[in-house]
Formats: sequence, C-alpha cells, structure tokens
Amino acid sequence: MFIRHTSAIRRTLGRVALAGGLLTTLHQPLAAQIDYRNLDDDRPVLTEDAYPVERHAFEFLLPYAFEDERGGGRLHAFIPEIEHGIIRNGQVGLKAPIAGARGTGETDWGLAGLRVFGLYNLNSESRALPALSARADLLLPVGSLGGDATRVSLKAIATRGWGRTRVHANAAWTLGDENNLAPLEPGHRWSYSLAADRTLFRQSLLLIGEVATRRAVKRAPIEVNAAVGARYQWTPTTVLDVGVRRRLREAAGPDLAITFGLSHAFAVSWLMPAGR
Amino acid sequence: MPTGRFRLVLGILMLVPGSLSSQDQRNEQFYYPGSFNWQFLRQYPEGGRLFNAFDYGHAVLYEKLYTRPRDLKRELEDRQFDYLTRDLLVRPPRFAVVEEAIEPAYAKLAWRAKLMFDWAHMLHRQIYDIYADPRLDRARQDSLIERVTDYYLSNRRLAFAARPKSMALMDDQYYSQVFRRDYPKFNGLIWAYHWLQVGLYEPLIEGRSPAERKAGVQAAIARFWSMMEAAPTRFPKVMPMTSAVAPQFSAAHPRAAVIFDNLHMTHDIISDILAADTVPAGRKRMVIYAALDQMQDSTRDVMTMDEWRNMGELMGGLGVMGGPATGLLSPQPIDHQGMDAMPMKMHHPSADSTRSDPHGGHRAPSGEQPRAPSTPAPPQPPDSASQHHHPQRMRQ
Repeated sequence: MFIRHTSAIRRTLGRVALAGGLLTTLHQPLAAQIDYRNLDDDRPVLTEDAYPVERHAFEFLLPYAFEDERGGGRLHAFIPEIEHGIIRNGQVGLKAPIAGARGTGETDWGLAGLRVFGLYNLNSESRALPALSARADLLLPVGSLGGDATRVSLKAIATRGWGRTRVHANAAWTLGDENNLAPLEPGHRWSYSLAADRTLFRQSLLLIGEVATRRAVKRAPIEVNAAVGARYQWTPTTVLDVGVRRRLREAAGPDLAITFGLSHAFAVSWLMPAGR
Repeated sequence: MPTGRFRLVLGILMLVPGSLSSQDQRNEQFYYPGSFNWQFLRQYPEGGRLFNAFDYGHAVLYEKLYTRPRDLKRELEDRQFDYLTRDLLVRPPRFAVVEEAIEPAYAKLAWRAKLMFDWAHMLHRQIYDIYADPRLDRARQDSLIERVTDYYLSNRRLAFAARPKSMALMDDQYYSQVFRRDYPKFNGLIWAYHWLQVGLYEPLIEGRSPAERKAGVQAAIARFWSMMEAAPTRFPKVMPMTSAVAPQFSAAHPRAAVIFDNLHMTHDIISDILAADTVPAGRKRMVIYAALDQMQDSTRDVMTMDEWRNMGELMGGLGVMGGPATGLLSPQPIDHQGMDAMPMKMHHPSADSTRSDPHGGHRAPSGEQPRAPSTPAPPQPPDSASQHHHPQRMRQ
C-alpha cells in the first residue's frame, strides 16, 4: 500500500519548516499570551474548543505524533497546519499531514492527503448556552499516502466553562467512500469525545483530560481511548503542547500515542483594516 | 453516517442560529502587527508583569460584585485586597491572565463589556511597546501610536469614543458612586492601577536614554508600591485623569489619552452598576450595555477638549489623583480618617450643551464652579521610593 518517497518527503519537510520559519519571522508576532487556553484539534487531544482564532489572526502549528498501534504497526506523523481568522468568529485552515507508516519492517513516508476546513462559532458562552460551533472539513486524496477517496467531515463543538475548569464536547461524522483511505487523518466514520481542562493562570498552563470513542469505517471495531495533555505558553505568541493517548478497549486503538507540538500566532499588517 | 441521522444533525444546526440571535458573539480580533509588540514586556518586565496582575484585580472585582458571595465587603476589602497586594502583585504572572477564567459569571453576563476592556487594554499595551522599542525614534513612535489608535478605532463594535465623555455619566447616574463609597480600599486600588497605567507613559517619554527610561519606569512603579504600603491613605482620592497624570502623553496623543479616560470611567461605571442594589440583578446586563452605548457614542454627552484638559484641576489637582508619575511629588491631602472622608460627589463641567442629555437634571449647572474635592491638608511627606530615585528633586 505504501510507497517509499524518502528523499521527496525530506524535501517537503524542509520546505514546510522553511515556510514555517518565514511565517514566524517575516511577519512579526502578535497577540496571544493566553493562546495556551485555545484547544485546537489534536493539540494535544482530539477534542477542540468551540472558539476560532481571532479575526485577522494566523496560527501556524507544527506538531509531531507517534502511534504504536495494537498489532505492531507504527505511525510517525508531522501535521503542519495553518489557520486564519478570515471572518469575524470564523476561521479557515489547511492541514498537510505527512505520515511515516511502518507495517512489516520498512517505514514508508508520504503526504497523506490534504485537509481544508472551516469553523464558525455561533455564540460566546452565556448563562443559558454553551459556546457552539460547527466545522466542516474537505479531505482530499493528495500525495502518495493520501488514499483514493474525497470525503467530507462535519463536526459539532460545544464548550462550557466554570471558571478555571471547562468541558468540551465534540461530535463528528465523515461522509464518502471508505475504501483505500489515508493512514493518517482519514476522517472517522463517527467520533465522539469529551474533554475537561483546567487553567493554571499563574503558570500559563492548561491541563487536559479526554475520553474519545470513534469508528474508522463501517464494521470496524470501535475505539475507546483516554488521553491527557498540557499546553504551555512559552512566549507571548508561542505555545508548546504535549499529550499521551492510550486505548481503553482491547479491540482497537493505540497501545500508546504521543504527540508534541508548537503553535505560533501572528498577523500580516497589509491584511489588517488599518494596514499600510 | 446513516442519512437519517445526518438530516437530524443538519436540521438542528439550521435551527440553532435563530435561537442564538439574542446571544453575544465572540467577536475577538487580533491587534496590529509589528516588531514593536512585546517590547515593553521584554525591556521592562517589572511593569509588564504588573499589568498582568492588574487584569486579575479587575476581573475578580467584577466577579465578586456580580455573584455576591457572603460578606462581600470583607471578601473584597480584606481577602482579595490582601491576596492582590501581598501575593499576586508581588509575584505577578509572566503573561496575561485569562480573565474569563477569573470572572466566568461576569463574562457570561456582559461579554461585550469584557471585550471592550480587552480591546482598550490592548491599545494601552501596544503603546507601551512602541515607547519601549529602542529601535524607534520619537517621530516613528508617534506615527506608530497614531496608527495603532486608528486600528483600535476601526473596530467600531469595541472601541470607546475618542472624544472625552461627560463625567456625569460616571458620577451622576442613579447608581453612581456606590462602589467607591462601599468599598473604598478596593476602589482606591483600582484607581492606583489606573494611575500607573497612564502614568507610566511619562518616564518612557521623558527618558533620554534607555537607562533613564528604565530608572523612570522603576521610580513610577516604586511610587505605585508606596501607595500600597500606606493603603488606603495614599491611594488616589479621585479617578486619575490621563491629562493630569500623563500630560506629555496627552499632549502628544490626545485621542488615545481620551480613550483611556473613557475606559477608566467605564470601569468605575460598571463597578457601580454591579454594586448598586438600585440595579436589580436581572437588569444589570441591560444597564451595563446601555452605559457602553453611551461611552461609545462620540456625538452625545461629550466635553470639549479644553474642558477635558482642565478636568484634572477642576477635580482637585494632580495631588488627589495619586501625584505625578515622574519628577516632583505634589502635596497630597492626607485624610486622617482613611478613605471615608474622600469626596464622594463632584461637580463636573457640563457635557456638550448642544446635545440633549437624558440625565441632564443630574448635572451641575453650566458655569457653576466645581466644588473643591477635599479639605486642604498638610503636604504629604515624599514617598521614600521616589526619594531614592530622585533625591535632589523631592519637595519637602
């Protein structure tokens, strides 16, 4: 299933790193300071909060993930991502997952599709309602590990806070052909997750715990996984995150999955209303 | 996903927007980019971190006033005051505090107010950053400050008016002055915050070298701490006006200075609305939002710029506002009975008389001389911290 493209992927990774470096240096850092509290999907748990990046903001994410699958398979992944607050309360983004999958000895590297997405936040949390958002992803079969299917994923997101503690619920469904999918970020048939986080404001640290269940494709075993993670404000515009996940059922899920990453917030002056 | 369930989800998603029409939207916006950002925190961490702790003070105040825990007076005047002045301000956080985590009930009640404060605090911070950037000459700094002010004002949902609002909006409403009367220590602390927030611009402008600016910033912070040591007697007795505490900044950037005075007035207005029993809990959001509308409206209830420039003197002078941030300390009236005898009612120049004022009956008649804000008292001894930095300039 996998084709080796080591040199091509090295070049791709180099370009991604260069692009990230340029983004973080050419355009001067901006906002944040409290970005550690903004939960993005997979950073570091599956669950995300209901709030988009701020209007005019960009966020560049560069995570690494490793999964030791039940049955011996291993997966390495870099999933560079860019998000932009293109409208008030709404963001668009692009993910380019690069996977290294090892099934029977050799690790095959490749671009595992492209994911284009949009998220719109309907409301800020009020006394009566949690914050609610809707998200849609278009999964494109691009790259040597991208599979063959174009799919659409829809997600509903809710966030409710009680001071320093918040609870987030995500529910997602993916539509489309379920044959020959990408090994990474394929879009699960369905996925439900519940996470709670705790803000340590003096340390600029967020601690997160999560339980998630999902089914990859029709008739696949259902995964139930638990995860814990943390997000730490490293500089005013840079957040470090780390997370660990493990299956709770024998049937499916990782023996161990580890992720760590970096996200950086910035803006581009000529895209701003008073930009000159 | 089965088609039936998909349709159900779509149906729910289509119904949601209608039911959300009365909800606040998040409406967060990034601030203006530039290499000057974060220079203040980098060059003057003693000041930048202190402001992070100020954010906590504002947030916890509103949360407590709104949620009304048992024995609120003791909670604010003793427990929270002590926590702030002996712990958080002493060891302030590296980065901004997530105010939503400190004031969850208030943030749900009045998200727009919280966002407007955040937006104005962002302007505050960016102007410090610009002044703190050693790579920028004064002309470039002034140009950038005007640009970030333009950017601030371009967000009309969140920007305060750039024309000075009538003080009657703060002092002459049916809920006015409750907070400062019932919680004098905490109110004095908030005014001390506001004194430093505007006063810190002055040493950044006056300093001719990085070393002078650093010494000036530290001296101003030391004066702030001297207020804490003698709390509440050395706290400002009236709201510090930017034009009085930061005259050089106000002359150079009057729009930003006016915005900060409007911001600080609104801080006091919301404290009063939350504290006042005359505003029932169920109406607080509506009254707060009505006040925000007034503070954003640059066509009504406004002073002239001349009136605004003279407001410091009319309110009793710099001495009752916490004193100057740099240079000589002016005599400050000493109130031997603590804050109880501080002026609770001031008369202010009327708002723009060409406009009708729905609360005009509460205003001082046009032309009436403002009342002296307090009984004259002997000059206060110079504060020791400032004496340390400018011993030759202190007035005895």
